[in-house]
Amino acid sequence: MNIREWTLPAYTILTQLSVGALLVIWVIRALNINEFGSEKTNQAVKIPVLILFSTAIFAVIFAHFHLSKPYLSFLALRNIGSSWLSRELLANLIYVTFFGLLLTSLLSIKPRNNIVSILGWLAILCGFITEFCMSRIYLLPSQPAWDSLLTPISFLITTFLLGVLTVPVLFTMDLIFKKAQGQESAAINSQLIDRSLGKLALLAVTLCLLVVASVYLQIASLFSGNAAAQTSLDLLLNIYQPLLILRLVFLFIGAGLLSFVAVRHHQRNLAAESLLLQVFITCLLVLVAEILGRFLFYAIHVRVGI
Amino acid sequence: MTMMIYFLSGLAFEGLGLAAFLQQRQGSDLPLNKHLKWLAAFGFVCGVTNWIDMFLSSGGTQEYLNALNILRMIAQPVTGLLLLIFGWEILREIPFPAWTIFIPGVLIVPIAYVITYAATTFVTPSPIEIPIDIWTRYLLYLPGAIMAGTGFLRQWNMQRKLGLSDVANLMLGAGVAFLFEAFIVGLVVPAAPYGSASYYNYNRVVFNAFTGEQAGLTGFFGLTSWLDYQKILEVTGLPVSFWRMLSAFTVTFFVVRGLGVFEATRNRQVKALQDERAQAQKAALDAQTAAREAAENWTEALVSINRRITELEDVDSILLYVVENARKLLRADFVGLALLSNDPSCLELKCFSIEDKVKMVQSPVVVESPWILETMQTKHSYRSSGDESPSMLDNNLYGLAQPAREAGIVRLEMDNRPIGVFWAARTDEILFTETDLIWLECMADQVVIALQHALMTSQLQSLSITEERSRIAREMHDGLAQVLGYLNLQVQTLDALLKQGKQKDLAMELEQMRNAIKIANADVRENILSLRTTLANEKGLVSAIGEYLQEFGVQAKIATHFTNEAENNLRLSSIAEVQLVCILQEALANVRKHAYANLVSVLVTKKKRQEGEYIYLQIVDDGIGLLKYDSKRHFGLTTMKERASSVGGNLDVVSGEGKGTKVECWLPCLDPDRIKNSQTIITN
Repeated sequence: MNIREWTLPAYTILTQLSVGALLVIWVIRALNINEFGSEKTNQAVKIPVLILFSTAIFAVIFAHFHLSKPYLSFLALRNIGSSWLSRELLANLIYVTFFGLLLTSLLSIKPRNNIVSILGWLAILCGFITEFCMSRIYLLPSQPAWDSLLTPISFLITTFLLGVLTVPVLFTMDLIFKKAQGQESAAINSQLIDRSLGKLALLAVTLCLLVVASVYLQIASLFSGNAAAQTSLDLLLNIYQPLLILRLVFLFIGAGLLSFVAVRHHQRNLAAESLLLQVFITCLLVLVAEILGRFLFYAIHVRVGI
Repeated sequence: MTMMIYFLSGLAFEGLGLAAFLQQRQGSDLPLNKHLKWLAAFGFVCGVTNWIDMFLSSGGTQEYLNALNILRMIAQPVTGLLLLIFGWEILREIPFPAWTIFIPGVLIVPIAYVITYAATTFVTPSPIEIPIDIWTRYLLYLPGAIMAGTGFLRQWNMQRKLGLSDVANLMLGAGVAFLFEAFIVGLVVPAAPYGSASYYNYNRVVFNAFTGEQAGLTGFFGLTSWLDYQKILEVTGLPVSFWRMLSAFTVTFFVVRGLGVFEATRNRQVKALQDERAQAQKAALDAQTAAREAAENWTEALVSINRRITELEDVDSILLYVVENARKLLRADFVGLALLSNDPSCLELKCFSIEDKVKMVQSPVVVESPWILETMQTKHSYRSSGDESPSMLDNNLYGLAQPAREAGIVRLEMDNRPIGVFWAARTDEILFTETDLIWLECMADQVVIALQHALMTSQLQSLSITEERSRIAREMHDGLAQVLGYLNLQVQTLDALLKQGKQKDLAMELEQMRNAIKIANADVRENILSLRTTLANEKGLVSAIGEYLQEFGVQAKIATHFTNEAENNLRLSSIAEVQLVCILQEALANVRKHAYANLVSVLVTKKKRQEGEYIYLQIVDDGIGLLKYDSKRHFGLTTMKERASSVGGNLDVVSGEGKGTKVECWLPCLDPDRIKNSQTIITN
């Protein structure tokens, strides 16, 4: 395995996962904070936020293994004025910083709700800025397969998709943990899952359809492109076709399974903690699909020129 | 050589499968038994996989080899899957700590990456069996063996903490063996004829399976660059198949040994059952012994009480003895006896026992406990059940600061009428059992018997005295009647003689009449004296005897001498005292009437015989002695002997003509220790 090559997708995927999941969690928090109160709601999201912060940190660590000299990574900040890579790195650092402050605030004895809320939204904003900068890196005229609006759009879809599929796993694990500890806030987690699962499933299906649409648009775009674009298309539809098919299959199975789980949970009023295996499998399938997607993104690029 | 290696590997795994299968069939309560079916299946299928390798290495036609490859492509993932299932089952046998719920969340990303990487290599044109082999090892064998090894190690840790080192060591070997298996089978993979998965270099196929051409690329082929067959051969000098065979035997050896945990557990269970049984037997024996001892103690107490009653001990001392023994045997804090006073509605405390003291209540103490009073009204005995309100147990205790928590109450009945209550109380919450209540009832029965006995004895004593007085009165009456009848005849004779003018005969008849009146007078005086003596209980018997002798001497005009070598309390039973007095009276009457004595000496003393202490009464006179033909006197002596023997004594008469008469009477005393104990119990 080529470690250097595979750490780059690891960095991008993990960053997108953390941003997307944080957004979903913060929206759920905002929608329920009035009913449950800030203290209990913050208690319910504390551990998922901690896990997501760890993910963001690992993403930054993996990013260094992509470099030939990881210890010189700070030099990438020198060209903020002209380089999207530098801007991406800076935005990522700010994002991680706000994320860290958010976590510190949540873990404090008496978190102040206003500060927590603001820090959360700031972290999300910086996360999306990082995403944008990340996607702008690839808008290179010399890379026809990457140089289109579909690149940032696909990055955004991946962010939302991974967020939507990850949050049920985080909440369910946290629920089981709190129940085992006998914590009262487990009831809040259970209610959050009950209320959000259906909506998240719907979002997942919608995003899957958007992925299909983006793939279609990409194929159409490459089809009408130059020779390099044609080569990329050829790679995508011939050599990497099995992977493309595998990606879409995993995507729809994952989203479909989540919908099935949500419907069954609603109809039979099942205990939320019994859903762990199902939501884990859905998340795994979609994660594999998105990593495959990222692999294909890198694999079909054909450089124009020297 | 390779064939032999594969054959032995297969044999080892088949042995593992067979051992697990046979153990699983035996059944066991151990949770591990449920998972043996997966281990058995893994062993069998892995053995088959190794034998397929054996046949593959032997060569053959292409179709034959293709068929074997297809079989291997099916068998190998199935083997990995079975190992994965077994590993997962044994791993989660012991509940995980709560925080481990997050581990899947941590592993989801690396798992996703490995699956993705595997997918990228699968879709490249290469012999499919190689990626299947590689990814079966990475995705199924490796996690399965790690989980199995970890599961055995967790079992080892658990058994060690339980102190079962024999079982723990078996688990440790199996755990380590599986971890070694994870490394040598799960991590070391064959070289693949394609280059490393790279999205910069599509042409990864080193050897094109379709064209047979060799491409120019070389490179690593698995997840790491240093764990493949070639590396193992270079480092160890032995092929990986040899190490895998070694691993197979290691796993089989330790797991089969590890299955000894079932035998060890069975033995432990049997031993535990045996220990339990022995303990139960010992407990039963101890309980029987305790019950027997308790019964013996109770029986001894009851027999002792009974003996005191039959020996006519003072009833108060008997009651004190009863309450004291009842408290000790019941392990109660208080035992009390209350009797109805003259007012039938008023229950007065008679005596009680607390701690080490027993006390007779001098001034009246009215019992006010509602529960005790309620028991008086019913015929049933009661014992507390622990649910009673505290007010029910109020005033159940006297002389203690703490209130009663538990009580057992028995009504005393005589001739079907309530006469009192006998109860026990505890200050702690230890219930009185049904057996305790039964014993309490037995003690209550003894109390009633003692009271009845005392009543009867008092009546008997009164009856004896009354009878004696009646006898004396009858004798007086008969004697006087006879004398008066004789005198009436003599008056008529005197009248006749006066009319006849026979002065000499008249004088003789008058002399006879004077003698008769004299004798009658003496008899009456003696009877009156006897009557007085039978009333002399308040002064003490010895004093009464002394006074009687003195009066007798005055009346009979015979010198008397009284020697008292006994204390005033002769310790005779009441009836024996009566008989002693009668014997003395009879003897002195004989002296007065028949002995013609000048001196009579009476000795009262205590003497010891083999059977015990006796009161010795000796009456000696210096008269004419006992004449052989004096039938009346002989009849009197017989009566005296009967009196002595009726109270367990004996009487002897020693006499000779002209040598006086000695009457010796032996009457048994009551046991002094019992009397002393009953008297010294009274303390305050």
